[in-house]
Amino acid sequence: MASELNGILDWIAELNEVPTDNVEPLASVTGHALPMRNDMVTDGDCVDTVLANVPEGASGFFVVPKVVE
Amino acid sequence: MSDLLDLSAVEARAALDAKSISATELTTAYIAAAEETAALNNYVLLTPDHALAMAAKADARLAKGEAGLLEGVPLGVKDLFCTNGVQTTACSRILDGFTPPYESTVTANLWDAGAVMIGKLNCDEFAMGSANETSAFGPAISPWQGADKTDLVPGGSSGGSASAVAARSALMTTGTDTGGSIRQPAAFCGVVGLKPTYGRCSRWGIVAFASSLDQAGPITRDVADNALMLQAMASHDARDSTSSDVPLQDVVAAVRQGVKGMKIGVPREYVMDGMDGDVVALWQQGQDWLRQAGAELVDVSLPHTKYALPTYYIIAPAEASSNLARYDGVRYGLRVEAGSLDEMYEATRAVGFGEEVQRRILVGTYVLSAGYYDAYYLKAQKVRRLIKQDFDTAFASVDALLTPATPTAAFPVGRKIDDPVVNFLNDVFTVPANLAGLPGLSVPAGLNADGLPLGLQVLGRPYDEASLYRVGGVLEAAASFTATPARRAGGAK
Repeated sequence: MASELNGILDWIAELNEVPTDNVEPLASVTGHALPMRNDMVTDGDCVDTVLANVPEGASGFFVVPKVVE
Repeated sequence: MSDLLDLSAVEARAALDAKSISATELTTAYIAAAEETAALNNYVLLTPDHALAMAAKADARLAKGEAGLLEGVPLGVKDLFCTNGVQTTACSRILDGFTPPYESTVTANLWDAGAVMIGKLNCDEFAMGSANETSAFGPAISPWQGADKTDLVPGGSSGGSASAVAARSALMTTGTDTGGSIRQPAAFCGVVGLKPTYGRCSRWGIVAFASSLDQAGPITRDVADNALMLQAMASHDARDSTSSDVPLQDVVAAVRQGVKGMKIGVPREYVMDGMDGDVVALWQQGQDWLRQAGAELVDVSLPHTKYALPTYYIIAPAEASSNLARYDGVRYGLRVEAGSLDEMYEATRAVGFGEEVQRRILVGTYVLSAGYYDAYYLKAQKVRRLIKQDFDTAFASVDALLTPATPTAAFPVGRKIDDPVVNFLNDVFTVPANLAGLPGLSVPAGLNADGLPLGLQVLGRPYDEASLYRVGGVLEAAASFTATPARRAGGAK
């Protein structure tokens, strides 16, 4: 995989030949500002739904390997 | 039964309204068709009981005269759309066993319109691929066959979606398109695929690949069906902050409106090494058809076209590496137990993600890393603006652009290519529209020397899907593409 990744990186370096000194980066094509919404809770009280697909859970919590010694 | 499968969605809707067929009959025929063509591996999950229950409800609404836009139409869903209570995996091991407790906005819109879900469709893992060969469920196969009856790829990532429509195991299907994943498989399978304007269809509830590029769209047997399905899919959705409230035009009427007086641009940079001669000839033929129908053909230039692919292969993996960070074995999906938390993450992601997905996560993480962010990611965002400006300039003088959909026809399953960059070239004509957020329509327009379908692509201004359907309707009528693949349901064995 290392040689494939090097190949991809060499290839995308092609962009260096494009002059972009005075070009603003484009992050969104929508042309409109992100809409604001009221700062209020719209969802909740659904612990069972949230945990419905959990690989390991207990007493309404996600369970992970011990992280604090 | 094969008579029922011959109906387009528009024809089926008329027959359902006239009570000459029932939704249950139509659904039963499509379930049988899906079972008959199971060897194509288009479906990763069939939901016949669910389908028949939905069809019964559709029949009840039809009886009461309350039919929706797609009432009783059997439809397949790419396995990237979350479906409430029905397994959704993005065709990845890492979502093994995931059953969403919610419904994506697009599929909810389709069920509200009366459509019937036949099952979930195969795709490339996390929609990353152009041949449907990266799926954890194995490759989907095209119903078209190559020389000596070799299996061909249906394209990707919406390979199962395009193959199912061509094989007549679904009347219409959903796809998603991040760099061509609707248009390229539609072209390979001889069906119609639209990537709508970015923001036209809600992304809520669709497994994310590259959020600034992803867009859901319809894959159908003809252009009129496509416009009908778009009308049912599209909506403004407050749950997707990039969703648009620009009203959809009367796209259904646009299909028969013709192109008289339209200016159609032909981008001179859309010629590349390795293009099939048949593709070049078809592109020229398409220009002639549009001219004969009263359009004016105009030579245009999109000078940054050759930089679209490398730009895409920075931005898409960067966004993917962020989006896929959520798969950690903690909240849903696969978990591989290991000693510590970090080891559990590593083991889960090493087992759960396939090779192509891992490759893109690595590239994406690299181009976003502190030392390389400016050199790669920021540079790509700047070039992305130049690519969009090319289109803005072109659309100041033309109403739509005509290009080939793909540089070649479909290729055999399992074609070995050591250089991943060669595979990326499948998307050379489709990627620019994603970077610029434009709508693109792929219409089957002819066969190559081996009898395999080829498509033409129409690109338009943002939110102007109507112009695409005007051009697409004319191309479809002129091409009168009636060829069908051998391995379709009801086809010769």
